[in-house]
Amino acid sequence: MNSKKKLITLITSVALIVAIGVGATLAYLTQKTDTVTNTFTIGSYETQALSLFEHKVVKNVDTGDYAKTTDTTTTGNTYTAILPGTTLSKDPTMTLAKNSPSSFLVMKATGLNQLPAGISVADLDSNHWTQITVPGASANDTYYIYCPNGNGQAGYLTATELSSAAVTTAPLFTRLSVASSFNGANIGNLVFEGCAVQYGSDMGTNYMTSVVSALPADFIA
Amino acid sequence: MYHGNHENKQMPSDPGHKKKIGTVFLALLLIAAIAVTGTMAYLAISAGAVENTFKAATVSCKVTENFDGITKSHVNVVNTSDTDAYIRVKLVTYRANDKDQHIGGTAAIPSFTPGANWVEHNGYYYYTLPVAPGEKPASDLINSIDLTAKYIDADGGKQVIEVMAEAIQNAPAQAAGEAWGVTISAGSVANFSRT
Repeated sequence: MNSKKKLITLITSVALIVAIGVGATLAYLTQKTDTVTNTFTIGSYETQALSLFEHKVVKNVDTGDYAKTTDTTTTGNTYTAILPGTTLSKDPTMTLAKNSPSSFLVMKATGLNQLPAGISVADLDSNHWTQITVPGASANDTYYIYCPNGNGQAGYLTATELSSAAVTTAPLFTRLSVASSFNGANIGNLVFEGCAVQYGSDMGTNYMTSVVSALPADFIA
Repeated sequence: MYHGNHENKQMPSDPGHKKKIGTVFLALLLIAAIAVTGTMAYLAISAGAVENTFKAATVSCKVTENFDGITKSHVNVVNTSDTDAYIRVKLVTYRANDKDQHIGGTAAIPSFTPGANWVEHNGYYYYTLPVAPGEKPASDLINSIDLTAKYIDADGGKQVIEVMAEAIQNAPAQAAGEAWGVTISAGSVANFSRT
């Protein structure tokens, strides 16, 4: 019985030593590094990053022409008592704010293709704006995409150039002509709206489809 | 037994298997949705609308005068346009009977001195300054003239003078040139020349 007790004590001791050995084996020093936290936020345009404006106009009573002033308006101009044989200054232009992402710029013109006989766009800048087809658009609307290089080829403003300053486009055109044959028909209103669409590297070279599909619904309606 | 056993094995495992299929399907759907959303979610921002309103000019005028049956006075023209305009007047005279019907016989405009800045040119009297909307020339074309109440020659009748006025936009200058064939400047009227 005694020797049995000794045996049990011995086994227990050995087991304890083994346990301590294992414990020591498991007790290698460890140290955790600081946590590296990666934060992802969705990019966005700043509020009112995009603006569309025209220069304010004033009528020259001697010539009947409406000429632009140095002031600008983001709500529009009013042309009254339009006379045959005159010109109406009008220069819809867009500005995209500094630090915006690489972007395409699209301008929508409502009523421009419905001008009555005798009223015409004098100088549409086809080097900087090219017309695009937008499926589902109203028959009164025409859409133009900006060509930053002035070669008639659509393109996007790069974030690099936008990182240093806001970018202002060339105006879509600068004036309307009123022919001497204009008979005073109702001209209606001309409405211009702008939209910026972020460039995506996955758009590839055939990016027009992506740009058009990214236009907001209320921009097309 | 086999059949029954088989059924017993199938029954408990079937919901789990379906669950796995459902999970895989949902995952695929989610991936597809993310892919599609990614394609359509390019950032876009719109600018406010710039609305331009246009209204064509209207040009019109109206003769004003006093006439008591014999004396015609303060003959002038109001520019009823919504734009500055030049005004010209043509005086036409003829004889009429007591029923105001046009009859034969000659009639002549009594001599008068046009008001300041009115100039006669090729049968028309031009006011040579632009007239603002709602205004009339500062001076009357005719201050006062007397008409012949009764001709005593064989044709008889009374004199009628009609004042016919026209207005045209004052700008651009070629408007009066192309429409009326004249060039108007303060105090003078000349034939229009396309140079």
